[in-house]
Amino acid sequence: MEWVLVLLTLVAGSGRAAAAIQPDPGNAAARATGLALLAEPVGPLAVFDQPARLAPAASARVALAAARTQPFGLDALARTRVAATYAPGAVAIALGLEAYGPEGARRTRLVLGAAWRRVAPGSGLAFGAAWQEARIDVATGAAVRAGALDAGAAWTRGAITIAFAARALASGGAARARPDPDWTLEAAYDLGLARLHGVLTHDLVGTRPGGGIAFAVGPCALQAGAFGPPWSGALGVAFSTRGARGVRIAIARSDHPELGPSDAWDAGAAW
Amino acid sequence: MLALPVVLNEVFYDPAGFDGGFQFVELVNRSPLPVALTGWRIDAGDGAGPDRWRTWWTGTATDILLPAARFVVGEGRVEPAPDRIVPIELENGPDAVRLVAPDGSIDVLGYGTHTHAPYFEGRPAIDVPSGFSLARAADGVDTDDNAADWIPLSPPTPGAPNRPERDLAVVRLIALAERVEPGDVVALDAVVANRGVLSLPANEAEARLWVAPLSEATLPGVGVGEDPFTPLAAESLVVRAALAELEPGDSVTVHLSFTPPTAGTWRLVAAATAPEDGAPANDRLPAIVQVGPGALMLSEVAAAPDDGPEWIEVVNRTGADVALDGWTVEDATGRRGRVTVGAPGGAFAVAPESLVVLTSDPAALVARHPGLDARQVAACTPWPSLNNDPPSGAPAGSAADRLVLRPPDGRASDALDLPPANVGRTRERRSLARATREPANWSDSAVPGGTPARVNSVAGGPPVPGIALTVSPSAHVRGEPVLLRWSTGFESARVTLALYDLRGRRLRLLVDEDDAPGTAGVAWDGADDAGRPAPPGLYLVGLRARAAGAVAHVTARAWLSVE
Repeated sequence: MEWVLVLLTLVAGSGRAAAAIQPDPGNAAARATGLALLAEPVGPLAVFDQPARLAPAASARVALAAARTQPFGLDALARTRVAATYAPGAVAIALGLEAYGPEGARRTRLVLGAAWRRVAPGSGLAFGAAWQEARIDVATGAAVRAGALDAGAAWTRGAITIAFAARALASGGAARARPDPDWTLEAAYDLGLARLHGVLTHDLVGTRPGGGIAFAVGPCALQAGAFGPPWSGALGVAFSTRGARGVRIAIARSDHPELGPSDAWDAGAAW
Repeated sequence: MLALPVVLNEVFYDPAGFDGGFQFVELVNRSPLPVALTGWRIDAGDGAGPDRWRTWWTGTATDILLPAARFVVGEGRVEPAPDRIVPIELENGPDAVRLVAPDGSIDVLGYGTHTHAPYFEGRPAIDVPSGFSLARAADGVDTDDNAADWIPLSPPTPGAPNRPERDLAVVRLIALAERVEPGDVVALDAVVANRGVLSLPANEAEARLWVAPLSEATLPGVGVGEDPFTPLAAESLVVRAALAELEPGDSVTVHLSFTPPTAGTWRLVAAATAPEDGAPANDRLPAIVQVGPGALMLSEVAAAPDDGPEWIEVVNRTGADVALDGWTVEDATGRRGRVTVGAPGGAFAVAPESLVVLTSDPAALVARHPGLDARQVAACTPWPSLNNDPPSGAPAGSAADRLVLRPPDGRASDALDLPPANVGRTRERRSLARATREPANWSDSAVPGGTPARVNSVAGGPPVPGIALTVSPSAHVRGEPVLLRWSTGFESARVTLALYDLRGRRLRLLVDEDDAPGTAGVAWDGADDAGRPAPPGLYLVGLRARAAGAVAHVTARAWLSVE
């Protein structure tokens, strides 16, 4: 299935953007490590970008999370996300709501996702899919709507994790509300205290590489990365309680060479 | 015909302006002996019919002409004073003058197109324009062919050799640009000719350039073509260039240049000097160059209106009223329209910092722009129709037309090369502090039909503290430009303005240039750098400004939506 998704998005990615360019995928931790979605914990916020990583750790059944990203210091473009996950077993379901954009041009989407995962000693495999209902306000006061299908997969063996996520694999509704397709292909290598990330993100405009490193020191994780072009450097820090249950908060800042800094934070709890 | 000891040597029959008082006839004694002119006479011939001679001077016993000397018979206002003052009524050609000796020998000069042979020798000389005399090309040399022997001469030289032994003259002075910007080099080509009999050795003669700033108050007295010989202060001599050897009749083009230290109107005088120059009156020629804008500046140009007449908007940048009467608008072909007092709807004094619109049909323009105050519209006729596109066959990037705004004295107050016109869109000036010629200082108006007599949509007012960036309207509808205006707060700064998508990728570089103080603006047409329309969505506008001489920069950001 991974290769089917790759093929679909490669084909879709050969043209120019036809509708709205979406903000970069990911939340605080992803932004701090060069847009590496694997740097974020599994859980509710993954429903927006990588539905294969919805399921929280095995011992937690419910998780709530929220995130906010303020691109380039502009309040009008700040993106807010809230999401919840319920994972009674190998299957997890999630519901998320995202909003960004100024009044009169606001973008909102409601995302419903489901994922399945299989965990074995030293390896893991997960698949997920999500349907998003998007709504765009227009200047006349009306709104246009569209729907789109997202999908993702993640595979782990030993210290290596490879993941692929594709958004808007299929879509319908008003053309101007349909999100443009994009995909993220990434790999992570676990060194123990540190984790290395390499990422490719692709949309109808082009492909951008990114990457970073995360250090875990007790409840604190320090993250650094870069993505481009134009190349933006990023730093982040996250605090979380030990174990699958508990709370987590992360903040990050990336610096665009011409547009200046963007800030992001996210927080969540699981039990 | 017998060889006369005395012959006609110069005849001045058509002074510039009113003829009265300046006409003269000069005789020269080419024999080695004095000649008594008793009984000699000068006749005027009327070429309209045969044998119409009328004597107006006859020599007396006191009229003695020494060897190689000249004898001038002329009117009372001739300088230096003639040897004999008599009333003269010579006419333009075809006419003639003859000198008759007591023995009946004659020397005839006929000029113009004659049909009666007694009025000329060989072939008649040309009929010279006003201000020129007819003079023998070589003093006293008579080959019995008027056309070959006589040449036009200006200024006339009563009592002096027609062609001195040494005479260096500036025969033409061309300012390569009549309107330059502050800091530009003013370049001129002066054509210097050796009009004397002797050659001028290398380094003996030189070309000089004097310059002097002119205030508006002094301009009326020293406009182009007036008072070119007024001595200039010695300290305004800016160029001295030695000349190579010049043989008689040869000429050379000398390139002269200087950089005016201040803006304004500059008078330039090119001179050619040589020792013992026998005709100093032809040593100088003047030119006028406008550095920076004149009293009125171009502010907006409607070269391709979709409805109504073409028009231009001008602004008064001086501290005093500027009378519009007599100003002209000129296109690349030199065709000029003139603002005339009394035209309907005209307002003919432009107050400081005020805008006035010039057009061929004020009533039609006011009808097209209902909010336009007719008192701010002046008629200019005949209107020099502005081209929308470059001439066929012109190189790529050529201007569609050239617009020159001139005050009554003919200087170029402002000039603009017009790019190909976007029908229905006017070209607006973004900043009055920046040079007119900078293409980046002009942009299509964000307002369909333009902003006649109103503040330009892409320009702004005085500097404001800090950096600011505004987008209007924030929602871009296809086909309607978005106006981006900014202020850096710096007196001078390097400014970059670009559009980005939500992922921070640059979509369009709109401005990358040195910015002047004050606010400025540019219109975005909804396209990316490749000219493709941007897809619907949210976009960012990024402004970066670095003050002149500074390392760090300041930034401002805004967003806009493409519908």
